[in-house]
Amino acid sequence: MKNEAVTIEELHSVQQVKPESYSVTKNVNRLWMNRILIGVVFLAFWQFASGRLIKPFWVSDPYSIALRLYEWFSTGFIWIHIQATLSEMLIGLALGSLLAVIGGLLLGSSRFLGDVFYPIILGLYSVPRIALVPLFVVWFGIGMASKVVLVTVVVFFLVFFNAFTGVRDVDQDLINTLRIMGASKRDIFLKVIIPGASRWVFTGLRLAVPYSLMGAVTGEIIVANQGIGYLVSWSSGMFDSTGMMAALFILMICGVVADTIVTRVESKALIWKRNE
Amino acid sequence: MIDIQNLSKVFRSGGTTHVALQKVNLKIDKGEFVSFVGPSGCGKSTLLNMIAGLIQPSEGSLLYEGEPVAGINQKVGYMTQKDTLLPWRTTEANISVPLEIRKISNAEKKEKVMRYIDMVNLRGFENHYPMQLSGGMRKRAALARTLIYDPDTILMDEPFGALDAQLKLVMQDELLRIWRETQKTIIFVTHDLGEAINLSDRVVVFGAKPGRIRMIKKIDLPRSRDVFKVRFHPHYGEIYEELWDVLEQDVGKGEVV
Repeated sequence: MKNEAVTIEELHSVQQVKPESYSVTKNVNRLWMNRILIGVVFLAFWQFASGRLIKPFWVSDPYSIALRLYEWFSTGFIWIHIQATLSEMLIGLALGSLLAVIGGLLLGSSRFLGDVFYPIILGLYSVPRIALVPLFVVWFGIGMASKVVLVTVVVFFLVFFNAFTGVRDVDQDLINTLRIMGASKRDIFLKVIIPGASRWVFTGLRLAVPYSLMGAVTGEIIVANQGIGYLVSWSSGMFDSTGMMAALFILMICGVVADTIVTRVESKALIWKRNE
Repeated sequence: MIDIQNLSKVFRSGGTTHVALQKVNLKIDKGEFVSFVGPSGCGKSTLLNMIAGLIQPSEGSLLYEGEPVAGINQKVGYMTQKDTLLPWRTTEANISVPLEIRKISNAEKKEKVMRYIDMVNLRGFENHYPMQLSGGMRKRAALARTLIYDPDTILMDEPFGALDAQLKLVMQDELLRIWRETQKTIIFVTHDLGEAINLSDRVVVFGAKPGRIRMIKKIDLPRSRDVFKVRFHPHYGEIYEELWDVLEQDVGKGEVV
């Protein structure tokens, strides 16, 4: 009797496997349904409230914003601004992280260079980056160059300290093990230090991506002649809340896309960390 | 093969000096299996690190094949207590590290790595990352990585310390098999007296404060041994007791045995 009961239970547990994996996709679907529902309710309330509870002057309304976005895209007006912001962001991101990784690896692996330069970099780091914008505008003009430099500086500090710490944090036992195997300095650098520091660098890059967008937009808001940040500030100057909201919407999309890309790349590159 | 004479190691930090090892004399022959036992802080790991060339002696001489060890000794393989597999490499890629360092061609590398994966029974786990392996599997991978570049001597610092009792015996059994097949010299540091007796030709008992050799005991149990049964051999008890009597004097002087 008892044996039989166990068998039946086992049968049940086997059968349960399928419905369970089924309900995972079901849950995901439900999650998305909820998210979309909340979005729709929010937009509907906004549309309702605008003009009834609050003046459209302050918050505009979803319909007008959508119309404005359609207008911007259909006339092609927006592309030059998107292109400006994304270029500033990407060039700055590339330059900043490249310099930071090189600097971090160099200062991290050389005790002497680290001791000399680390305090200097720490000192520079304490200057609020936004305060540098007027200086960069004088040096590089109000065009894209000054924003690229700003983003580069913002990204540099975020990634540099991670790369530096990553190199310093590399397990000495791993290095010794490879040295006993006969590894040259180059082997150790390529096989231990760079991969070991990479997860720190990724952490820094992860932070750097949203900050690079922020840097580009901040620069554009302060002074510029193109870019999405410029659109926000220009619309603000015209008391055009619809324009501001439409520009902010584009920024949100840019941020989400950038973040998704980073997450994808990170999970590919750091596959060995997944089970930790 | 390894000739240690009047070897001392003193660590100085600030104003305090700590004598890690005092006047150690020991000769180890080629192909021998020697274990170091003793309480924590008796300098057995320090001696291993000196044989590996990771630290230099303060006094006395340490000759490896007649040459003083100056700098990293690349004729040895070193398996530490902590497993030092590269976490971002799969089992296969970890085991091939020494071959990459030696710039072995890809085809030969692949073939050799597979042979050693078989030797340590890791077939089926080639593409797993260390995080995905159990403690015992990580030890096997580390052992394969040490064996693959064919060092004459293998230094092992409590390699099985973190494993449970059964797995420990399994690993000991495999180590003895591999030792027979490869005829390496093995120097094995352990806390576990039973483990030392199971495996060794000779057991070196260390005492603490200052670290020194208290006794060197030849283990005349017959080869090849069955680690699961060797403790029932009529001489085993005697040997254990004799070594324990010496070891006991230092228990509590260091931290724990």
